[in-house]
Amino acid sequence: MSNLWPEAASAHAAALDAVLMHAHLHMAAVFMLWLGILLVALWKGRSTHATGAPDDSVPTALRPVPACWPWVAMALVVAGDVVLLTTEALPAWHARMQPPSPQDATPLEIHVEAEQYVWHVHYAGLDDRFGRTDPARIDAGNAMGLDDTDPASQDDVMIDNLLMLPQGRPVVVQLKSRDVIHSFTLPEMRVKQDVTPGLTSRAWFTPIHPGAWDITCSQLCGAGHYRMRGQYRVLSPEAWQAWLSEEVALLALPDIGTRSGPHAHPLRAEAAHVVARGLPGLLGRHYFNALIFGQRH
Amino acid sequence: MTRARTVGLLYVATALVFLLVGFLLMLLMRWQLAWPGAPVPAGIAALLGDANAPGGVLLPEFYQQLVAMHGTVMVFLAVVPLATGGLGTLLVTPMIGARDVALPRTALLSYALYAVGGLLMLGSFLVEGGAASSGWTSYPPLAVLATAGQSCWLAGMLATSCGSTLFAVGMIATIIGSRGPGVTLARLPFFVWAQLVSAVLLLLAFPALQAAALFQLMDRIAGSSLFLPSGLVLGGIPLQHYAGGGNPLLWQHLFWFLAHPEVYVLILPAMGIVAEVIRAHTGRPLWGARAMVGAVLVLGVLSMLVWAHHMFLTEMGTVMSDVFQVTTLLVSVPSVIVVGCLVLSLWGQRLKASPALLFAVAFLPMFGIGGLTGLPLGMAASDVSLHDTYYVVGHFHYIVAPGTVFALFAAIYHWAPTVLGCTLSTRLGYWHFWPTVLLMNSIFLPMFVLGLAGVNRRLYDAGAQYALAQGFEGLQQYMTWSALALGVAQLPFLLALVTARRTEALAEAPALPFAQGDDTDVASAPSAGQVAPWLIVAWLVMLVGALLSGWVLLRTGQPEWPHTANPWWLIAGAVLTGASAWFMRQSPAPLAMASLPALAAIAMALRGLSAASEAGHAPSAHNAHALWFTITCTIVVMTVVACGAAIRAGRTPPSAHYVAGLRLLFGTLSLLWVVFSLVFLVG
Ligand code: HEM
Ligand SMILES: [Cu+2]
Ligand SMILES: [Cu+2]
Repeated sequence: MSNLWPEAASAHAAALDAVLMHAHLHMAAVFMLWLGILLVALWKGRSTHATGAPDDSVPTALRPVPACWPWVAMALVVAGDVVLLTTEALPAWHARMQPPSPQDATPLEIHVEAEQYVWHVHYAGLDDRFGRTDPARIDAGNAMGLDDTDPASQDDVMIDNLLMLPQGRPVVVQLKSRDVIHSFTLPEMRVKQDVTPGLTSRAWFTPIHPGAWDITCSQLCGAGHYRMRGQYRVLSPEAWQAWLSEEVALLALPDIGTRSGPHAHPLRAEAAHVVARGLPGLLGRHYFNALIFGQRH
Repeated sequence: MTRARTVGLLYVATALVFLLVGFLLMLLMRWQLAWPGAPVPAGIAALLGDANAPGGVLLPEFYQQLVAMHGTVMVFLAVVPLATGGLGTLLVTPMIGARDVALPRTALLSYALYAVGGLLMLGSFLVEGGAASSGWTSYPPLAVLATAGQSCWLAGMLATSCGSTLFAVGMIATIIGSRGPGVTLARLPFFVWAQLVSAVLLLLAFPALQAAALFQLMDRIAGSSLFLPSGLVLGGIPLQHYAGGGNPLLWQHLFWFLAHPEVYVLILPAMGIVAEVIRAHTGRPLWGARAMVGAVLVLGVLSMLVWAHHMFLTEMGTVMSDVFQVTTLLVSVPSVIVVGCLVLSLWGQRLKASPALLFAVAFLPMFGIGGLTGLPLGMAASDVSLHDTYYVVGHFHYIVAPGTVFALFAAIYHWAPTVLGCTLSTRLGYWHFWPTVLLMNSIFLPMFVLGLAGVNRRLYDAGAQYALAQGFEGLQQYMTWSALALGVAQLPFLLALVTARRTEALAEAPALPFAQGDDTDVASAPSAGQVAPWLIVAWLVMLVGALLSGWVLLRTGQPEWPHTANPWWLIAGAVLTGASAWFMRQSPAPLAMASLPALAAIAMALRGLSAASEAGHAPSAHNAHALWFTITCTIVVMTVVACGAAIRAGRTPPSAHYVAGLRLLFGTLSLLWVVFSLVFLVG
């Protein structure tokens, strides 16, 4: 339990953490105040229950509630909400939603494709250009379906479940999903972004200190959701550049062969089975169509 | 025995069984979370079978079934039915001085649909592949790709939700139309207001889930792609034989449009119970009773305007996220009014302790914690860290488990004498209360710690794979021991139920807190028979509206949009149902005859369906066809039911209200056909 709170390792983390922290202070203050009133009311109103029927000889106190109390309470709560929202939460979120501007530093773009239960990471390589991809080319050796005939693809690096990042440079991760909804989460970067199939999402952040952490998936994506873990590492810019060059150099070695490492789809056989039957075939789709529409695929 | 008692007690008994089921499912989950991969005790392993737990070790697939079904059972089959169909039906009629529920047959039908839906969902543990496993939220595409249990979940959800909607119709009609003399709206007890607002929410929000469930069933059974975008690749193989073009976010909008109001249905009746128990124990009216009623009405409205705060991280624009953050924080205002007034109602009062009062008072801080922790979840900036972590699980459980469940216990201790004619032992009640309060907090307080540390929810191994979840094993085991102990702590309650002392003869209607007096409001109120048709119309309009909202979202996302069949017969449908409505104006109305044109409209719609099939316009071919098919079938079913109602009433001389109601129904159907034709002709 050394880690009650994930390290804050990105440029925007402090702003988001401040919102969280102040929200909790506000909550604690409201709660303690209100709980205090409740406890005093209970203490003053306690009576022995052994006597059975309510004791009519003790006159019930008239309500000694000062008329201003409810208003004060309401004002406190509303003021707290308004202050939190207008001075912190909304500005922090607006700033967060602002993509990095190229004036400051050219952002590093990385493509990530999620599928049950892998994060496929695609780096543009030394030329900063992404090669064309095509789902039809996906196979065990080509996790992104990279088109080798495209010159831009020659130095593209593909690695599963490993995100290497340079420190101090804005990163824009382009996110896609192939199958179900995943959620790309880098807790220490304060990044969490749903990855919905059919949509291309982007998440950006600037890592501010080196380290190695886990990529987690935060959206239930199937039975293997719990093991959809990747890793991400933040290196010094020089170390990162060296790493990239090395990876690109490795591509030239003929015996590596597979571009994305030995990644065989554990689900492949299962998926082939489902696809062969037609997707909801197992649920009677053919039966339904034959019955109602007199046709079959 | 009045019908209210029969139906109410049926609801209570069934819901209590489901509460136990939900609890047992939870214990299995907690076992796995505390000792991931450790085999469960042999007896239980044998019960679960090798398909779910080979050698007693729960499979990840089975764990996800437990999570999804625990959530579903607790929300839809246990707590909401207990609080509304059960306690609502039992207590509202005496509180408003009504002799019985206004629409007894509707009440029975609503119970039957609830029970059938519940059995269908639970029974799905026995089908191949087991029960639903995509969370209680059933997000597609995962849910569309899931095993057959998901179809059972959807069908069961349709049945249960129609049951809830019918319950709502009956409850609202009763409260408006069946009040006894002197029970003006201004004098309705707070409990009744809370039930009224809950019923309105059920009526207006559930149609969105009904539409969503129909869509998802279409995707699963008819092979449409309403929630499936193009280009899906499964396990590295591009998915074939599906049209694509769907949108997974459509489900999230429809689902949360229901599910957020649904959580208010979990909490409003609880507030009602707590208020009445406090009132009874202080013997004085509630402090700020009017403000509380206002607050509950505002809560009801706001609850329908906050749904997208569950979707901040789905790539939502800042304008939309601003709106939903503001509406979400607005909820704090009425919430503070309610809990504030309840505390001030206790202030300066001499309180006579009882188990009911203790549970009611304990509800207050528990609801406070649950409500306050909603604040950081409602602000996108802090939601980033907390979304889909255990913080969320802690947040909503504080509201529904220590919160609402405490209120339900309070209700049982408090009203057993009037409703069951027996009194539960106070001593056992205390033995029930103290351990329960302690243990509930032992289970749920650590969840905030886990969540702030970043541990995600719905993890089969409690996060064992992740560095940030290391070191929490002890805490997880503590929570599981607490959950087991919580089960044991319910024994005094069971004992109290079994040993309850019969008190004197049961009072059919507990003494009313109303003075006699000005009745004008009651006398001029519309009768239940007049109100009910309008409520049903509201349901149908919301349902078709939700279906059409799906059309709007998908239509705007897909440029090519084939036209389905010849839509002119739709216009004929509008004209014919309209003709039926018109014929029903003649009195005495020959209802069976008058429904003939509508029957012809149905025949034409069926003809249209078969024409579409000849043209190859199957739902699997394009979402345009799928939407058209779904909406046509829905309207046809509505028209069939309406004709059934007309023909059945045609045999006995129907009341004037009944005829007026039918006319309204047919008129609405005609209007829906018109809207539908316009959409498909112009769109
Ligand atoms: C009293 C004891 C209860 C305990 C100990 C308990 C515990 C849990 C746990 C451990 C989870 C799973 C978290 C995860 O792995 O993601 C969960 C989920 C859930 N529970 Fe409970 N629960 C209780 C009562 C209730 C009640 C009364 C309700 C509703 C009225 C409820 C509604 C839910 C829902 C909706 C989920 C989410 C399921 C999902 O992720 O799809 N629970 N509960
Ligand atoms: Cu995932
Ligand atoms: Cu996942």
